[in-house]
Amino acid sequence: MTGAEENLADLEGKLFEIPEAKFVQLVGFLEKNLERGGDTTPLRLLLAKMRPRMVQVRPPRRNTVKRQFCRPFEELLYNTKSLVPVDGRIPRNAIDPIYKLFEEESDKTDLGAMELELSGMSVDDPLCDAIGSKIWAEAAVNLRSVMVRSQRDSLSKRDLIDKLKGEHIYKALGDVVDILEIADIVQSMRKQLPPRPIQTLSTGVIKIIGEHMDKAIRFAPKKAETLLLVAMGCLEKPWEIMEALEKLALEQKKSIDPTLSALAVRALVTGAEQRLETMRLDLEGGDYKPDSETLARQIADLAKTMLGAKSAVQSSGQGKGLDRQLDRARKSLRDMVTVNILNGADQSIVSNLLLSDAGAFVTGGAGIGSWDLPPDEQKLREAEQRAVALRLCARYAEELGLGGEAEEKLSVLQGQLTSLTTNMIESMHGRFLSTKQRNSAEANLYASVRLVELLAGPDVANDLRLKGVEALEA
Amino acid sequence: MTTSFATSEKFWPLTFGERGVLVPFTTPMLAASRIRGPEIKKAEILVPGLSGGKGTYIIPWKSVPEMFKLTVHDRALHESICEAPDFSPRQIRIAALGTARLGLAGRDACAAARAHLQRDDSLQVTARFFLTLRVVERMATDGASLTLAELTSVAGQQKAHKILSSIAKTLGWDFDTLYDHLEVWSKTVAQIGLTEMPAEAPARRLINRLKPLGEHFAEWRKGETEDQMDSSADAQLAADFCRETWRLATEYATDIDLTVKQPAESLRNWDGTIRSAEKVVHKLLWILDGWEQVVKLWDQTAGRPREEQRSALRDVIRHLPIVPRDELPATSQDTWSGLVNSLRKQIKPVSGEGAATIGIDFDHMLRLEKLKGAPL
Repeated sequence: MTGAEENLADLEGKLFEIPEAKFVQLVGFLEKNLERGGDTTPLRLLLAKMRPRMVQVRPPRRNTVKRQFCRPFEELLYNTKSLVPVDGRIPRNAIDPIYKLFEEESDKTDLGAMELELSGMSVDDPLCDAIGSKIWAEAAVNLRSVMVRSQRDSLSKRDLIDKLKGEHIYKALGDVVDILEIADIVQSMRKQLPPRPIQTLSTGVIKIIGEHMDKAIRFAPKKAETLLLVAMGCLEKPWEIMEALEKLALEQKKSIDPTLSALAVRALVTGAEQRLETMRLDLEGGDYKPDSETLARQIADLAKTMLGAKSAVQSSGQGKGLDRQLDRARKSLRDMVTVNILNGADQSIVSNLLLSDAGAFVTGGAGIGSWDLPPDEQKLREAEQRAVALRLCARYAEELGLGGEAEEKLSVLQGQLTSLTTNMIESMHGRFLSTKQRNSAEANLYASVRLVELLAGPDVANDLRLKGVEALEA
Repeated sequence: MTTSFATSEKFWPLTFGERGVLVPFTTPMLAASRIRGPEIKKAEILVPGLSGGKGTYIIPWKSVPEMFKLTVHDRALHESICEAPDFSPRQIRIAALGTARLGLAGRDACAAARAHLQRDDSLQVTARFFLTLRVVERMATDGASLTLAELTSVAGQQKAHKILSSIAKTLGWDFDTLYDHLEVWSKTVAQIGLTEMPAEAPARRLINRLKPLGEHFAEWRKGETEDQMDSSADAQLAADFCRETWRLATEYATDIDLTVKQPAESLRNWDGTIRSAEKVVHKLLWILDGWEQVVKLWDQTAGRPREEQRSALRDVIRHLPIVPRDELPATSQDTWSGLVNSLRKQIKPVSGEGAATIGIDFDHMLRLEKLKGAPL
């Protein structure tokens, strides 16, 4: 933890005690300062701590030129540390360098005037769309001309890549410009579609997508691809876009050609690979390392996406290359489950119980005689998360080819934990315990009971609870 | 033990006692259940939407562990409630926090329960400091003043003693009487909190959150398409419940604030003040009972897919706390009658119930546990 993070460690709870009006004021003040530039790290850390209450309070976010600039591609943004570009997605860390480039290429007075006009204006205000449209048109022209200039020779291109700090940002710039050039069409589609992510690909949704693809090809034939990728970004199950393409092809929509299905499946497969890569990088360490329960949920979600992508690849007949790519990703995901959820489970759950002071209660266990400490909070939290992760992972283990292993692990751990807890309770019987020791014994008992419940269900766990309480009272 | 139960479609109880208090179970089937009864032997649990029906099942409280497969947390909570002196919102809250504190609903719920129990104490101290400052500010005769910082030091407390003694004289009391009254008064109002108190009490925050929550339901409704009539109506109903409950709760909370704004008058009429404060606090706690669950249920869905939000909204509807008929001012009874009728039509049974009667829906259980750990 850095110094700033340490200072903020206890802040999250306190932020819920500030009256709402003051909290809204504080958010506005911090956001304003964030835009002034300079070292914004402490402000960002503070805003991150404030996010849980911001979700509740929903303070009105400041309406800015930058916010408008991003609106047409909002659904395509994703967080990643990977430098590998993904078809149809824009890394969130590309926004700042690209927007800076737009500012450099634009008239400062114009931007200032628009900023002033937008401040205090609701995002739903129709006037806001008009200003947005002006921003997108200007940005499309200015940024496209930067790109054209950069393509004159390799040196110019290299300069631009350096300026943007990476080839992946340069690729994102191209995608952003592609979208900005048809931003009005994209916005019209976004407005007509139901709120994102769209759960059901209804006939109405397909119709809206088809109509806007037709409008997009009037600008340039390739723009149907851009629009398709934006549409996929709006869907909860993006692989269902194949169904939409089939239906639109049957209607003989002029914008539909076979290259679109190829593009869609490629986007699905590279999208799945990217998510896998992001998870891998997170696990290897960095700013964000998910706990095992979160990881198990992410894996479940990705396993579902991969299944969807696989059926899309098969239905599109797009060759074995993509199929093999998906198989490789599936194997990596399986390895991830094995290494991060199954393999460490004994260590996280059972050893935590043994090595923490609960172990001291077990006859023959490590450190007999130490009755004075409750279980370690952090280890206990990890153990519970791991137990939940195991239960969740058992559900999709079959799809990843781990069916037997997950169930076996669950069963072994259930047995071990139940027997350890039983021993612990037996060792409590007939002992004289001071108040402190009794509290510690009680905390250890409930910690074990909870873990047994997560792994084996409430009946076994409750039997242990009742026996434990009886032993403590005796 | 006999396990008899009855169903009822009568949705508008006359009194809070008849409506009952929400028991924050983590067994999905019992998530919106309420306990009622004068004493444990006659206590009943009201379970809405059981077995796919729209009615509310009324089951003897003692039979609950035999009739349902409960989580360990709920078995412990059931035992703890059996030992409670009464089934008021306050006692059920104490039992719920005591059970969650054991860690049987996970680490977050455990930490939150500990923090709640600690905060209850600190809120009493804050309320006492605040009342003392207000009394000094409004009643000190010789222009004496006191600050919060001073109250935390020994010298400051001696100063406070001196000022309060002279104020007590103007009331015809001695220092101890005034101090005791301030103690009792602050203990009473701390349960709800005061508008101007530097720390916001959970009940006060709940009242403050009802209005924006209602507006948010109304806003969310606008995003529903024509083929989503049910959830659109649900969002409207939730918005209406929020608005009407907020209106009612705010009226009572303002009463408490007013007495504190005029401390001299309130202290001179001490018996009336404390009786009325206790009555108002008691009523507010009953009005607000169950809303914490509603607020958190909806908070949990922030940023989640629309379909998940619709499902949570169905849960919200099952949880909406009704204000009983005789507890309402005559002017609000028509409005509430409409709301209660709509609720009767719109309430849906627990989803995935078949699985839940056999085992426990693991994901749903975890979601309910998370509610306990979530900030308000």
